[in-house]
Amino acid sequence: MPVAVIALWWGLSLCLLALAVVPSDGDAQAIFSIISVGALLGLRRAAGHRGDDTARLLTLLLGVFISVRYLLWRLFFTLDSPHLLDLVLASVLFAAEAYALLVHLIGVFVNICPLDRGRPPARALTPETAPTVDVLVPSYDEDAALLEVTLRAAKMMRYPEGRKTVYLLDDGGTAAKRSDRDPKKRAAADDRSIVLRQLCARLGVRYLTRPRNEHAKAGNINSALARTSGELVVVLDADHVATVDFLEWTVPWFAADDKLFLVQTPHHMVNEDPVDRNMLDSFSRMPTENEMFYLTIQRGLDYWESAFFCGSAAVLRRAHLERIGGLSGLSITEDAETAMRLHAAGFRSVYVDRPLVAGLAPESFDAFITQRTRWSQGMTQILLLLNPLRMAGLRWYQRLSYLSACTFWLFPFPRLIFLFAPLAYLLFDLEIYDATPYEMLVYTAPHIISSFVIMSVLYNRTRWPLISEIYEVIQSVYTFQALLQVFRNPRKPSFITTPKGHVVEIEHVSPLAPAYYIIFVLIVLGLCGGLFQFYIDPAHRAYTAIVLFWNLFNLVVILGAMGVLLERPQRRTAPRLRFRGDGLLIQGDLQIPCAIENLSVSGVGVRVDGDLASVDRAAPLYLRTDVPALGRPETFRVAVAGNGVPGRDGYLGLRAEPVDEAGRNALVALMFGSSDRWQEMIHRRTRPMPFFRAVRLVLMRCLGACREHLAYLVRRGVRTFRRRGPAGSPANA
Amino acid sequence: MENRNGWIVGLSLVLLAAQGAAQPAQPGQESGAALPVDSRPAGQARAVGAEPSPSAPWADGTSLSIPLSKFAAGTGPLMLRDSEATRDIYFPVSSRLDVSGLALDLALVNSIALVPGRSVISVRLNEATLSQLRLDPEQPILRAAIDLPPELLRPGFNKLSLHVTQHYTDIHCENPVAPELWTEVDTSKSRLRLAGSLKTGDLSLARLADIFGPGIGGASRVVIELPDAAGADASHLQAAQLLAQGIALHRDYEPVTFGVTAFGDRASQPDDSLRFPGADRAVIGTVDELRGMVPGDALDRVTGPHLALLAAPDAPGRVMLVVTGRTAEELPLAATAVSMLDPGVADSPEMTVRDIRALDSTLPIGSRRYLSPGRRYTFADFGFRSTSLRGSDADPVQLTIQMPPDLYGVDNAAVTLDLDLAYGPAMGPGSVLNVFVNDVFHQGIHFDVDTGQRFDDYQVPIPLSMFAPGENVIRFETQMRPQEVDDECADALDRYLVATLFDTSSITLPDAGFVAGQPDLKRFVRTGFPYYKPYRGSGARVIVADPSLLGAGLTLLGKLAQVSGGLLGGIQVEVPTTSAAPVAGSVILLAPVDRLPQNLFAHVDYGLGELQRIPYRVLGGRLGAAGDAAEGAFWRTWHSVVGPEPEPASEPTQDDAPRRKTGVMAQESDLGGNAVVTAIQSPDGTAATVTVITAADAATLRSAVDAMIQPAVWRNISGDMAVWRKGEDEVTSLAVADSFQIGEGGGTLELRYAVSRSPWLWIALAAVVIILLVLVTRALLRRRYARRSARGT
Repeated sequence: MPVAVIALWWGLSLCLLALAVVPSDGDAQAIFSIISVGALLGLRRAAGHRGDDTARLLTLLLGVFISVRYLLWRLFFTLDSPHLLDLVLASVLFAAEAYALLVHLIGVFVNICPLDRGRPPARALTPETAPTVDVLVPSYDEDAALLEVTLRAAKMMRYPEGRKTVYLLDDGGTAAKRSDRDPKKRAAADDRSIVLRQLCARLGVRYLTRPRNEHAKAGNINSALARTSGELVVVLDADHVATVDFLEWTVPWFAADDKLFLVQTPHHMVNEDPVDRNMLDSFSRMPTENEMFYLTIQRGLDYWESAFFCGSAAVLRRAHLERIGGLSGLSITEDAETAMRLHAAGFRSVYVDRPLVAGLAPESFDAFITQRTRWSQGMTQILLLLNPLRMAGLRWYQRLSYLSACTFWLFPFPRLIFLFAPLAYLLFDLEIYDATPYEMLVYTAPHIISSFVIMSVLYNRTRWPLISEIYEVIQSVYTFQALLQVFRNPRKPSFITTPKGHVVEIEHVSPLAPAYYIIFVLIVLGLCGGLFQFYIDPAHRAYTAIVLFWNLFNLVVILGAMGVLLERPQRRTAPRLRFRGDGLLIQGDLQIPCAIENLSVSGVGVRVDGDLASVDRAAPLYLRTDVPALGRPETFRVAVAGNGVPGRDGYLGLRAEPVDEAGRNALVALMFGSSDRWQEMIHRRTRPMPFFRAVRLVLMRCLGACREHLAYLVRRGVRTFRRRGPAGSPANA
Repeated sequence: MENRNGWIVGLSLVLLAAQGAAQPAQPGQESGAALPVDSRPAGQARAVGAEPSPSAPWADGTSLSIPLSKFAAGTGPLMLRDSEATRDIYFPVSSRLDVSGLALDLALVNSIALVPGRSVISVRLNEATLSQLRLDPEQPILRAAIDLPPELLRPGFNKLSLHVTQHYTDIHCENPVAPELWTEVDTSKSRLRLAGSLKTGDLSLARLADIFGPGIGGASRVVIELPDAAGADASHLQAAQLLAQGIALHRDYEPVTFGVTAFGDRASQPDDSLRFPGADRAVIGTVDELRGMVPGDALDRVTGPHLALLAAPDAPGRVMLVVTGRTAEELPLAATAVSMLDPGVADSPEMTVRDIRALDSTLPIGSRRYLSPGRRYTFADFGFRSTSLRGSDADPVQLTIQMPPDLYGVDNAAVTLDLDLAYGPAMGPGSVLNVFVNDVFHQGIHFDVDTGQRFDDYQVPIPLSMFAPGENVIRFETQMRPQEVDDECADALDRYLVATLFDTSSITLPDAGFVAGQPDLKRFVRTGFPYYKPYRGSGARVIVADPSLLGAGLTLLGKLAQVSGGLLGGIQVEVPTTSAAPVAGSVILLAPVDRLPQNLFAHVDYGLGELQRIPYRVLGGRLGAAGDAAEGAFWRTWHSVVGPEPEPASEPTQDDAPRRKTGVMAQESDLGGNAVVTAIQSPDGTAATVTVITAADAATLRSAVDAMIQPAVWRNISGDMAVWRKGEDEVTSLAVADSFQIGEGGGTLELRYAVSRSPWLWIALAAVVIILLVLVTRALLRRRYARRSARGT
């Protein structure tokens, strides 16, 4: 049956491709477009429902058919120009479109049937049967306070006694660092080493370091692997705080499959990335950027046996890892590279769709760009140096899956081309899209609609419209340069740690802003040029209007980028998250009920339903509440923050002041220990959003953020003017 | 200025007036008052069923009175506006005509605001001013008879110019474009009267083009004589049809009617000599067959395919063209030579043809008239000469091109004009050059640089869909205005306004193929398609059901040669001896309705014959608005869902869309005075067209074909069925037959055309394949999902 069915599938696919090639004039295409787009929109709702895979497949295939037909039309009928420059630019634009469609199609393949794993196989983890686990927390320059939370949480992961060991892998205190020629660096490394050693001693964590910082994070872990012996290895980034049930959700999978080398879990971020904080401002209402990957794409990859290692929040089997010599370091994305090598060696991976760590997204825009630059360079290195299409041992679907992961990161090329292409016509009158407005209406518009519909079906809950466009454009300018570097010399890029845990203290414009200002000016010039052209050239108004609309879309996106570039100050040093729970404020015999509203490692927000007049500010105050992760109530020492007067609605800020290790552990468990809490948090914000409503919201945020950016520039200009005084004034003299 | 477009001759050497105005005699002719009257001049514009003329026109002096409106393509009065204006009217005169009298009856109305002493209309003939008339505001309605000297006439086109100078004040400077400066010439009441007779004298084959050429007094009727018209062999029939086409090609745009008669036993033979008394004659036969028929000793010098031009023995001024040879096989070659004699170098009455060979053997004669896809042509290739347009009232210039009738390109295919253009300094606001395609405005070029400007290769892309099969006119019209200055009189100075369109400008056709929908009578009457295909030649059988219809067949072939622009050598004329002769393939069938083959209409919804199945329509129901914009093309196709499809968007739109059928009625009735032309797919199912021309009986059919080739009927035929009546110009066209396509552009282009005309099958197929693919994919995915779930990893 399978061979016959597969042959039938291929036959039908070829038939469909042949039908997509069938040429027609605009009217016939218009009829087809109306019918197909109508069907797409009609099916969209049903396709979004889980379980209705027929409607989902129908929508996807119809959308793919529309898009492939569009691309073939572009190839055969629109790349004609008597002018060489026009032809060259038209070909570049077409190449960008072809790339985008290729990535789109591979994306459809990868995400066609995301796997729902559910709970792990029932395996009792007893001291006798549980495999030994080494928890490795590599660190380079992170703050000790940040590491303390991570290490405490790692220690609190539920696992049979004696079968788990936590290690801090300190690359900031290597022998090389501590003997640096620069006395300041040397002293800092020494200090760091001492502090962290003391911290580890206090927490019962083993401190490991190495002589030299070779091969960055991969080298650090490999060095640790040589000095440890656990059957399983858990890798946690310095800012990845694990829930207490982390090992219960992951380790049983290994008992079920000897060929399993990896169980990967999502990276659940508990703070806003700079795009969200500076522009979107919808952290609790909208899916975050990485949730599209972790809630959808990794599940799709898992279906195709290609879920890959993401560098942290994962469990690996030491034996298999050692078969390939530990983590690979050819590229600077050692995680994906290692997974690809292990997949090629015939081993398997599992993706557990449950948030089991809480991490920190980069706080500033330049940190965000640093992180994305590394990812894009690393994945491109894998594409160029290892080439998943040619790597021996991978199955065909794994090749496509890794190809999808790698080629995605080339998006800066098409994004920048799409950004500048309208300007070629609006400013220089170059015709790089040889089609009539009517053809654009019947070919291009359905393709765009179908792309949005497919996106909506595939990433229904995890990505709102226009968000991908904004994120990609924002990253494109700088990752483009980084990618060029990779193409020039694929082995050159080196690992750069993503700065985390830093605090943006004052409002300022990102130092990366000038490039976006230039693009903004060019697009505005294009807009003016287009309007002028629209006015003076009535014969081409329809065409000009379409290109103007395209340029306008780019303007909106770049306005969004401008909004991101204004770095807003963070109000808190540690992320404070919403929390639902009852508590009791206790001072001696005084007990005041309260509702806990939010929570961070440094404080608690409560709503008090009573009189605080009788509370003695000088006496110790305690908060008693249930800690779900521990399954018992705990009492925390707190102090009233600020002036101690509740707000009009009874809100009161409390500062956590744990007095012992147990209290600190309980606080970490309360804050980070429960995966149910993260699950609920994700569930709350991953919801389908009507297209036009989402577009309106995003547009409003783009415009609002850009307006604030411009207002900031004006304020700063005024301040500068006042400080320096007008030209020629005494103040200036 | 409103009617200017219809009155102006462009510099492309193709004259608008030639489109049907230059008929020496049309229905409605009136006798001149001052000249000798013959009520039956040239007479070729007979309506269906017209009786033969009893006398030989022009033989002994004839006069004509022709309204000026007959020489213009436009309708309505002729407006002369502004302080100075000229309108030219061209009329053709055959070189055979010895004109003895010429006069102009002028009827006009002028503005009552004119100053009488300074407002004058002048009449010029071929640039000589012959009369000046005051435009009197007290007597604004003017009728005048103006004698024109016939000696100013020259063979071919003659220019009659009406020039006005008009003023509303003689005290102050005036606005030269003031609205009160106008004179309106009534072209229906204004008439040209002409009297004359045919010249006699030495005849030479070098004059063949003049003798059969167009113009008043030309050979509008020709009787072709065969030894045995009813039972003529293939060579004789081939020679007859080549001869008819050759004469028609000399006749250029003017219709010519052919009769056929036999000089043997006339009892069982067709005899059109009575229908066309005193007409020019052409005699076809071998030397032996022609003994006794041809006067003199011309036959003694025949040593091969031979032509001789003699005076007709019984009609003064008329000619007898002898097409002969030693054998019947030599006759077609001699007949072919007739179309070649332009210019005729051999200044003798006889010639022997040894060989005819096209220089480019891959192209049939006449192909070069049509533009070829993917090629570039300069305007000079069309005879266009660099032209400077002067003043605010410059006449437009135009370029006439011939598009292959089945040219079919993709949606965004565009014909590109690369204009070499210059304009002078000091152009005022509103100075533009507008480009029109077939009278539809396409694009304007603004003269907006004060110091003037020159463009090289100024690109004007024109969608291919704006062009019609066959002849297309691209017109360049300037509106040049002086710069605005404070001086009141400065506006009068507009002579410095000048723009030049250079003949180095070029036109480039896009890459395209050859595919066309059939049946399509509009395409047939414009280009002869599908029986003639540019660059690929001609091929068809012309079947005349009755020998008496042979003349009608030749008349039709002559017309087809004219519209296709070349000799249709691949066409064979057949006179079947039995009515059961199969009609299949590419055929033109002329037959009375009762002689139509029984199974001819078996595969279509309607039929003509003893029992007629006639399509009818709801009154007022039209198939779509004429000249819809490209954006409207979709809706036309949408409408086609419930009826026959109109042309795809990339095909030219038609001005007179045929009416859609809404039903069919079976009836037993007579066609009466109606004649019908209809086109259907060949009964054998091949991609070939059968065009049927029929009427109640042979006599009616003969007259019907005579009427059909007249411009009033011919240019209004469209759809796939057209009906016209005796004595009426109105043609009713319908779209009734199932469509099919003829294509030679390769499989892709033909597939594109087929899908474009009817996308439903393709859409349905795509839907089925997608659904099947979904089901198979779902099965495969579910199977894998179950396997992954079961295994745990």
